[in-house]
Amino acid sequence: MKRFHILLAALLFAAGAAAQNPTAYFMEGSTLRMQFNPAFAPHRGYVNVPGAGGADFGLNSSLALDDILYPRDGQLATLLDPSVTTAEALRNIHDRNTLHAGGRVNLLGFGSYTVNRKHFWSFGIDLRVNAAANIPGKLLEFMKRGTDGAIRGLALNFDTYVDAGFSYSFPLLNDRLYIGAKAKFVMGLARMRMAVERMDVTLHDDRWAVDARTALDANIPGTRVDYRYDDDGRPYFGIGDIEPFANGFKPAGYGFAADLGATYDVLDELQVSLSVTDLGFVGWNRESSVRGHSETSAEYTGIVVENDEVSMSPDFSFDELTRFRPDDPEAGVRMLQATLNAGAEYFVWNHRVGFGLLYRMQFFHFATLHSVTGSVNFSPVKWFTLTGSYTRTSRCGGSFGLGLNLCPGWIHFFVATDLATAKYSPQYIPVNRRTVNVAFGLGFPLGPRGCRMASRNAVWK
Amino acid sequence: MKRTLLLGLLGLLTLSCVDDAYDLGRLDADKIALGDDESHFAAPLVTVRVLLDDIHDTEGSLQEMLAEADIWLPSQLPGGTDYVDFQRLYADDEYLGCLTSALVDEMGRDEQKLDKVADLVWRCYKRDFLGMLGLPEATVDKAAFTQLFVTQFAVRGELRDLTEATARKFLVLLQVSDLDYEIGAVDLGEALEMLTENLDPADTPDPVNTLYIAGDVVSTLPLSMILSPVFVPTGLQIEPFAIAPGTTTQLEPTRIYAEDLRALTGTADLAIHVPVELQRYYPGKPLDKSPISIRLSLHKTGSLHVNL
Repeated sequence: MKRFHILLAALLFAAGAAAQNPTAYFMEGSTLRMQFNPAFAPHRGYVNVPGAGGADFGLNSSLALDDILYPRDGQLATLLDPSVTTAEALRNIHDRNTLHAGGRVNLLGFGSYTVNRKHFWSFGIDLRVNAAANIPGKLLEFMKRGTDGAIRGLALNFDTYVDAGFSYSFPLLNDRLYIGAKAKFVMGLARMRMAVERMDVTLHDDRWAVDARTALDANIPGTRVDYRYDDDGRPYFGIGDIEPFANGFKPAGYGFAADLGATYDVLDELQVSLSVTDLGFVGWNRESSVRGHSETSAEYTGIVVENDEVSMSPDFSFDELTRFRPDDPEAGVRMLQATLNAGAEYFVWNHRVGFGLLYRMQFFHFATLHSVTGSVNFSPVKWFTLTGSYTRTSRCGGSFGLGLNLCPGWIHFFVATDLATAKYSPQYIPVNRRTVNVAFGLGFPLGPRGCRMASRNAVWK
Repeated sequence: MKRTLLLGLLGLLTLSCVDDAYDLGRLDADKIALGDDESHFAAPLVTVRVLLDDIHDTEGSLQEMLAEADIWLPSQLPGGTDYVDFQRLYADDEYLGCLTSALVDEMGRDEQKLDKVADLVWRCYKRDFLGMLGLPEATVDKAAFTQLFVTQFAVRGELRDLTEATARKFLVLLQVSDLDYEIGAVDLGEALEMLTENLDPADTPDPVNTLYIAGDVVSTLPLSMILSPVFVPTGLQIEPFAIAPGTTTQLEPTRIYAEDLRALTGTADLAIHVPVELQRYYPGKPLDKSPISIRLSLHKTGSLHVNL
């Protein structure tokens, strides 16, 4: 029970969080925009408040809270509760049910225009956390219907790393085209992938059988595994036997990534933009590698009486399922989860109002998500931008978002979320929404104002 | 202006629709059900493989019994049937008389049959026939006995009557003993609670959550019979069922209740007692060494509840 709550809390925490809030894409002047496209730049240079300069959390799930929890007689029951009918529980279950959660926290960030006030450079150190899960529909169908099951692909993925990146953007083609690039050195902190590669369940009247194999592949810094031994002297370990940092902290891997982007002013009122972010990899080292597999093939055929002898099939034990037999540690290279952004924004009313359209393709572990965001952006004065958006994401449905960017002369603050229009639980977990995004940041403007967006600056003057 | 906007936005964030029905503080995740009202779980319980040697009467094995019956029975059964009806044998003297008359008639015209009966009488009933044949008990050998039996059978009515009476005596007593098998303990572990937690009471109309024992019986014996297994010491009786030669018989479900299953799993000396009631015998068929397999399975309708 306690473990379940911890797991649930972890999922809900993840649900309260996602990386790269699409509402912020068109929030002109915010430092967050540079995370989408290094060709973007804020109005002025900046120094972020360490740890709070830019936090961006999000979740994309094919299931909402009300797909897995059901109010029953004043209580809240899970979809596995007896009171939840099979039809009810499986109504929104797909063949593959994915959950992708991500978070980014800016630990250190600053940037500035160069002397010509068109080139912009920045440096930032970000903590990144990604979690993903894939729950095959057949697993839930097996549990709700109680029929045989051939379950494949139940998997959990988690990785966290720190990237330190230097970004630079500059104009071309008479300031119509801006090119930006960010080179990031990546330090892997930890990663884990646990996958049930197969789980075949047979429930016949002459034979109950389970044949399952689970693989664990992790890189955990300074880890020590306290092996246990079975009756045959074979070593095994459970998740709880892994002690992170037991041998001190040492990065579990290093890598490199790049963000590449461009903006182009097709007309004075129309800007298009294109970028690819997090194009890179982490090479995870052998020292931090923890690998193992559990395999069980249990069968129960009942009691057989023959020739005055009674034989019983082996105990129907699932102990082996939680016993990971150690595999040789391995170094490995893993790609980061890249994102493609393609946007266009059309301005009216002397650039006070912009209409934006953003297409995103996010290459996650268990699925590639496509999303389209339409937004209306209102900037009555230069230091204030209010954005309203609607995003439709494949497998995850739609959500309305709101964003606010304030950058008067002395402070720089932005917040963007799609929680504002959601129905949510008292714990602020959206009830019927499958995507959640929250981003905020606090910093201080620094240095001269940039000379980009000359036509807009002219209006605001 | 700034403050107003900020306050407005924060107000929007905090005051937008809160649904108390989804208060995670009320989460009850302890109950898990596998399956639903439409589900049907079936698990193997006991398989009893009945060996030929397990079946016997007070005199000998079934194999010996049927071998002797094949000799006492005429090759052509009365009424053109291919079987002997045990119940009529026991209760219908006319039917029994038809069988034995046909036997005597066949012995009169078929030397092989006569030789088989003579051999059988020598092996099993010679004491009853020595006086009739006028042979001294101590000195007689098989050849002399059977030769005399064969030669006198056609001419002596008393010998035919004694032979017929011996056949009647054997056939009317054809019966096998009940079968008994020790099982020991049945340990269902935590599954016991899963199976019994949500069972509907016996008086529930159209029950959903039920438990019953079902199964099938495969038989290659040339016998049809009615078996009535009883678990001892619990007294739980499986619905009696008939089996026929060369067929698989599906057993009628025997509904049981939580206390029945607890009793079955609560003893270390569980056994099955199987009374056997013979129905028909189909002569002339071969016998397998393991001719009957009784497979009992436990069935649960409705969901299985797991309490974490």
